[in-house]
Amino acid sequence: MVRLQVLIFVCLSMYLVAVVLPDAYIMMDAASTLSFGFLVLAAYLFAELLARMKLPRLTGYIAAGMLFGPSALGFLTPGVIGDLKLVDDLALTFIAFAAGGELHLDMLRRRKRIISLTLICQVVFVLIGVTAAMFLLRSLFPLTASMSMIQALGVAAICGAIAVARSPSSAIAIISETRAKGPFTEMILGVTVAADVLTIFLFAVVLSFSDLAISGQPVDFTFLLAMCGEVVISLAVGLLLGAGISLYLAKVGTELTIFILGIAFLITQFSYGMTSVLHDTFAIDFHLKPMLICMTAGFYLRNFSRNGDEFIQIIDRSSLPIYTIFFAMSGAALKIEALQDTWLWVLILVGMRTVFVYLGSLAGGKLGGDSRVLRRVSGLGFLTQAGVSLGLIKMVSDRFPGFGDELATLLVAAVAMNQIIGPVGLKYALSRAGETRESRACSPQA
Amino acid sequence: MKIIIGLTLIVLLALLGSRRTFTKVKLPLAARHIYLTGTEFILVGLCLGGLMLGLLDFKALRGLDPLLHLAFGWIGLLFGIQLQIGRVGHFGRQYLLFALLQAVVTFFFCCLPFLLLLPVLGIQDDFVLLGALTLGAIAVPTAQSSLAMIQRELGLGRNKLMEMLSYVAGIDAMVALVIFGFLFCFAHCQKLGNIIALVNLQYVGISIGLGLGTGLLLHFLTRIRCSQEELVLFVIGSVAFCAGAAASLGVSPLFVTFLSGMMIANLRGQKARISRALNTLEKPLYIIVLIMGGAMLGPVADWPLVLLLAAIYIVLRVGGKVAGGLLSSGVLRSPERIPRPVGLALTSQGGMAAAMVVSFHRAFDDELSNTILMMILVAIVINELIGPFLARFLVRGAR
Repeated sequence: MVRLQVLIFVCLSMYLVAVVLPDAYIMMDAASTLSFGFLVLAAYLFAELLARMKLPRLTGYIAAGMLFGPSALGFLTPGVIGDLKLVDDLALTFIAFAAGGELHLDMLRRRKRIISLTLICQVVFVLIGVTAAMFLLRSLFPLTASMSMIQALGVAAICGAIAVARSPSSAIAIISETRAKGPFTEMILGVTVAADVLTIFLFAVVLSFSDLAISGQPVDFTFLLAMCGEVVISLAVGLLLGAGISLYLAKVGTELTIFILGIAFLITQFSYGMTSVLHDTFAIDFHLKPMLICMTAGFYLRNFSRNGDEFIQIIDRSSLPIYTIFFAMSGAALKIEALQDTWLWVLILVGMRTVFVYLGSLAGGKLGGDSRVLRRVSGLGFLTQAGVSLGLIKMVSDRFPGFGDELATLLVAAVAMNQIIGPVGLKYALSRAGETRESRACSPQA
Repeated sequence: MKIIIGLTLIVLLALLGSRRTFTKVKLPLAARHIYLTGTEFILVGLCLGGLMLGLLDFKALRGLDPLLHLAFGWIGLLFGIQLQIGRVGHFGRQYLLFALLQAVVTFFFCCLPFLLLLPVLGIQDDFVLLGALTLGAIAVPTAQSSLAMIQRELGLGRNKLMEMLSYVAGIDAMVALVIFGFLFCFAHCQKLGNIIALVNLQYVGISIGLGLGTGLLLHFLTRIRCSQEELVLFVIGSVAFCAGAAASLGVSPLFVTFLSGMMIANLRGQKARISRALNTLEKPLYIIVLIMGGAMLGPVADWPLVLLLAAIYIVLRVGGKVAGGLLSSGVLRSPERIPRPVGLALTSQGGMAAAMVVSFHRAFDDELSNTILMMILVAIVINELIGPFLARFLVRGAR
């Protein structure tokens, strides 16, 4: 009750400062800090309220962001969201370190059969299933209704490839929130991370094919190579970074908070800087992936560094404010108004993805020898979607000026919906698998 | 390329600097004064900033604004939370008066001459008073870190003189923050072009209301049982909210959160836990302020003149501290444990002064604030260099 009162007080204060007070009183260039503080408090307190309804806190953070963001109450302006982009990027690198740090090599070796089978089945089912379904519905889908069959296949394949992407950041946040641990949790995280990396390759292939199908341009091998290069170089930079951090931990080992912050800042700046230099100087579109770099570094530290555990622990200790601000920002950045015109096709797309993800998990679990219970729920653990998919969607928009924006709006709205339902599904799946702290405490063995 | 150079620079500094700073390797005395007090981070910031590598350029600094304001708020709250009304005079009324008088004398010693000196730089009449008041306020705080360093070095575990010096340094910070808070309110009158008491009072009211309101907010949030992670989140959220609101409304984030801290300190609640949570991030946030302070420094057209004024400022500040000590001990009939030239031990000017000047620069961001930033950063480096020598000289003499 006290927290509800505090939430109301915080909201009223923010309303007073951000909305009621005349502009003459407000120095707008300091508004980002105010919004940052407001979002941390309001999103957490809002999520606490939703948690009483057994919803994951993560959903609460996203919902709070949507509620207070530009699309609803407007406490946060688009300008402020832009100003907080750096904080958002820094938070993402922290989450990526944590996600990489959760991947134990021993666990991956032990669970490689089930992870690889689930991954293969999911990729095959989702890619082929969503592509086929969108192709079959082509005459009803306004975007492809007037296209030739081959062009419609190109668009359908793009939808299929994007549907494969997951959200490691959401997965790690839910795992951290529920303190889940066990083989099922490990499998979920392993598949989620691997699927995200695989999506980049898949997307490169699909986009090259779609280019050929839609625009009649020959397959662009440079693009294919560049996409593969991005992943390989990001992995290499991540390994180097992991080795560098490991050296720092061994030789210096002090001022870790400031060191981590500095590294996160440099990685984001380095990735963007590199992209802009290559684009401006050599006209090459090459995007290093900060998330992949940090995940690889986290993986290296967890598995190949003597002092890596200390680093991962510091990241874990600071996880709560980081998750809160990151997901609340994600919610605030969602354009709810995009749903107004596209909601029916968003529902169809999300529904199809959910069905094929579920079927893929079922098949993978069956082949891998998972128990009946796990097979039934594992599909719900793979619905989260964000990060990489949004980057890829932007490429679609840039690549196909004719219909790219329209398709991108639809896909972004679908990702937004998956971002909301995904965490609920994952929390439920982890709970049914008996691997959350709560369910472990309730189990007869506990 | 700049990023790679920046990365290499940071890693090198971290490896060389930190290893030497935080281990027992003996460095030359002057270098130790810079290293052990964290002043080197100003130089790191200078290298990373717009004047040199440009890695922390204007856009990046604006992107890091929430962190910077969080740091201001954190520092203010940390000082405020140590201020339990009942304990302010625990050394005795005479010592409290001594500390207050010494701080006020230092303030006027640095403020008044600059009313005459600042126009030399071509600063408009309207802003001369604001600049002089700022220089005076920033002259007051004394670095606790260098007192602690001397205490460690000379093995003065529970020495009465060191405890008293630390107490005076605490009071210095309090006086400085209060002057600084009122100075921000005064700045609104400057902007309006005439001094209207009501406008002043309005901003004083905003500062006090915001500070005490946030204190209550944090008190209520942490009153219910919460985990350490939640407590840290509440502190981060409240501090950023309060500091952001203060900065948005044009009042001092340092002063406002100082009031919040005082509020928490004087309520029955989780002050010990909050204080512990604040301590865990104190050093990193100070480092952020020092680095960003260095990085914020823009080109100064008349830099030789500014350096000359910085030198005058350093002399005036040392003079103010010494005169403040002498005058206070004379007027108040020197408390027996205070050596008369006690001001010599109070010349180090550390993190609080840096936080104040960076906060001032962030709020006003004009030629005057850039000039003051340069003067104060130079003064901090020099004062950190000579301050511990003077303090050591005094403490050894007193023994």
